[in-house]
Amino acid sequence: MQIIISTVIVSFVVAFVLGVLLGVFQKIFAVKVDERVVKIREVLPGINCGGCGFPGCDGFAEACVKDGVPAKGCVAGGAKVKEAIAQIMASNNA
Amino acid sequence: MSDLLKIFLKSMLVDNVILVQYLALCPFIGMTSDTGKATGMGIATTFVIILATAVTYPLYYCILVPLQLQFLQTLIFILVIAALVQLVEFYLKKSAPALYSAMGVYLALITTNCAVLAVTLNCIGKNYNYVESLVYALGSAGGFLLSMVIMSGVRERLEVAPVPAFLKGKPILFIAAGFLSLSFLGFSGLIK
Repeated sequence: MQIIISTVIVSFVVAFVLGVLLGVFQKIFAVKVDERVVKIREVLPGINCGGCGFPGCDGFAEACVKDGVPAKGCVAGGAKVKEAIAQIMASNNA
Repeated sequence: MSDLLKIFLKSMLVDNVILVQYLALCPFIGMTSDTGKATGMGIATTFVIILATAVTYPLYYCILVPLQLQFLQTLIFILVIAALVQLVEFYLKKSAPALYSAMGVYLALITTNCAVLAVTLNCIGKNYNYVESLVYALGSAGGFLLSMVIMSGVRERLEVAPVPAFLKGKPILFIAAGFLSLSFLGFSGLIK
């Protein structure tokens, strides 16, 4: 019984410490991302289907902003997503 | 001192992780298409191997052994390695975005790179002390970097070599890897 408890405690403590450390380092090494990328990523379906030809939704959001890939590229999202992306791109360019 | 040098040379040349122990073949084939990428991958993995050994060794002897939880070593070591890889990823994203995007998924795959886990487990299995473990990690990581760079050089030459059509691409690559491995067998018996 004791070994089960110590197993759980040790695993938890190690995982917790590493998690906190990672959180801290993420703040230290934070990279400034274009906020449009974050916004577009939020409106995308987030299923990483790869239908657009980019590696996942993150890849598509970045390509949208950086390389001007058309909003209709997101096959799974359909008209609704296209509209939302267009709005985000328009609002920040103006 | 000479003992440490022995461990270093043995882990780097005689027991080379890739070419003699056949570990970490995924980046060996996937990341060696040009020397720059291969060096970047080699240095990132070197960093992870050394840091992972530096962290897991005290973790094993100060926490797991007193509590008689040695059976947890694989789980805990993987946890530490995964966190360290994430750390390297944050760092590269910030300081070397070009390298970060060039490495793509292979960077995250260092997590499951068996060379890293093998080195940390070997340090325990071989009953090394802390300094010996670090030297062993340094040697193994150096061996990894060395074979990655050699392989990328070979591949760059292969690009312009007159290779028969049916061997073009991966087949000639595997044959070259085999010869490279054979040549490293020449080191066996170098250090008793």
